[in-house]
Amino acid sequence: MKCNEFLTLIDSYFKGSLPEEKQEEFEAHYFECSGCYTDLKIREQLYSKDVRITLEQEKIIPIWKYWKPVLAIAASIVIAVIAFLIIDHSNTIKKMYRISQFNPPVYISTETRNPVSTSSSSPFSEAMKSYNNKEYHKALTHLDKIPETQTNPQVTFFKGICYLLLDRKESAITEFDHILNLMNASYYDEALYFKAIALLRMNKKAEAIELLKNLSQMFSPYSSQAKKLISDASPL
Amino acid sequence: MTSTDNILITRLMAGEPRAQREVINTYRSRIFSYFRMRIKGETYYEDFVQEVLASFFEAVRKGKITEDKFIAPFIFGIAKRVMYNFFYKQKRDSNIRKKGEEQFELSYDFEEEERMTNEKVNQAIQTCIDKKLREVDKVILKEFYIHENELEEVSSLLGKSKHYISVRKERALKKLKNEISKMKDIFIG
Repeated sequence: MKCNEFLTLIDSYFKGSLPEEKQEEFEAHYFECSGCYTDLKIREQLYSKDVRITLEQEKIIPIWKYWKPVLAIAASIVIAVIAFLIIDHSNTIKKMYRISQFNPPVYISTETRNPVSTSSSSPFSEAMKSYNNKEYHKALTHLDKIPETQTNPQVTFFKGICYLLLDRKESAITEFDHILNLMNASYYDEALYFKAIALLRMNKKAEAIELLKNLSQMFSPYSSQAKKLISDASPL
Repeated sequence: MTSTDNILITRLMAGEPRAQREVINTYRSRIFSYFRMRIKGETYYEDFVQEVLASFFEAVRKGKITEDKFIAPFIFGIAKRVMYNFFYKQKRDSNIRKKGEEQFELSYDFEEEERMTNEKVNQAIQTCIDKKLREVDKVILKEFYIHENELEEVSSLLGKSKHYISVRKERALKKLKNEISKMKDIFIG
C-alpha cells in the first residue's frame, strides 16, 4: 500500500468500514511506515476524545469580560450625551449671542436726562469720546473717575453698556440693577432691556424673558424690540 | 528500512540490550494501536504487546529470524497470529494466556510506557490545536473527530464546499503531524 492511499483510508479504518483484506494491508503498512503511523496516532488521539478542542465561543470568559462590552457601550453613550450637551449648550449660547446682537446706544450730547458736566475736559466727555471711538476700556476708565456724588443713571448706564460690550456680563448687570433699584424713570427701560440682553448672553433665558415680558407691556420705545427678542429666544 | 533492519537484527542476535529497546520503542505503540482496533473493549492490551514482543525476541534468540528478514512484517505477522489465537481461545477459555505454561517474559511496563507516549502525543496535539490552528480548522476537526460527522454533514453545517472542508482538514492534520514529528523520541523507525 502506498502512503497516499493509506491517508485516504485512515478515517474508514477507525470507523471500521474497511474490508478485511484492505484492513490487513492497511495495518501492515503502518507497521512499516513511521510517517503513516504518526498520521494514524493523531487520529487515534482525536477519536479517543482525550484531546480538547475548545473554540473561542466556548471559552469561559471571566464575568467582567462579559460586562466589558456593555460598559464600553455605556461609556460611549455617556460620552456621546455629554458631548452632545456641550455642543448643544455651546450652540445655544451662540444662538443667544446672535439674537441678542445690538447696536451700541448712541450717546447724544444734547441729552437732557441727568446731564453731567459736558465741558470738553470732564471725565464724562472723555469717556464718551472714547465710547464713540469704540474704546470701551478707555471709556470705563474715564467713567470710573467720575466722583460718586456726580454719578447718575446716565453714567451708570454707559458703564453697563461698556461692560456688556466688553463681554463682562455680570458687571453690566450690576450697573443696570443699580439703575433699576433707583426706581428712577431715567434710563429705566434701557437698563431693563440691556439687562435682559446680558441675561440672554449668560444663557439665563427664563429670567431674560421675564424682564422682556415686563418691558413689552410697558409704554416704552423698547417694547417692540422686547417682543421680538421674546419670539426669537423662546424656541431656543 | 532494509539496511537498518539488517543491522538491528545483527545487534539483537548479539544480545545488545539497546537494540531490544529500539525495537520496543518503534513497535510498542503500533502493537497497542493494532490490538485496540482489533479487540475493542478489552483492558489487558499490555498482555498482547508483551506476547508479540516476547515472541519476536524469542524468535531472534532461537535464530528463526535472520538478517535478510524485515522486522515490521515479522512483528505484524506475530500480532496477527496472537489476535487470531485470542479469538480462537476465547471460544474455549476466557484467558488469553495459558496458565502454568512457561513463557518468555519481557520485564517492561508497556502499559505505563504507552500511557506516557500517549500523554506526550496528546500534549503536542493539544498545544498545536490551541496555538497554531485557526478557528475554522478547530471547528472542522471538532465536527469530524469529536462529533464524528461525515464530510457532507460538516460541509452543510459550515456552509462551505466539501473540497474546502477536506482541504482545511488535511492542512490542520498536517500541522498536527509536523508537531508530532518534532518529537523524535516518540516513534523511532
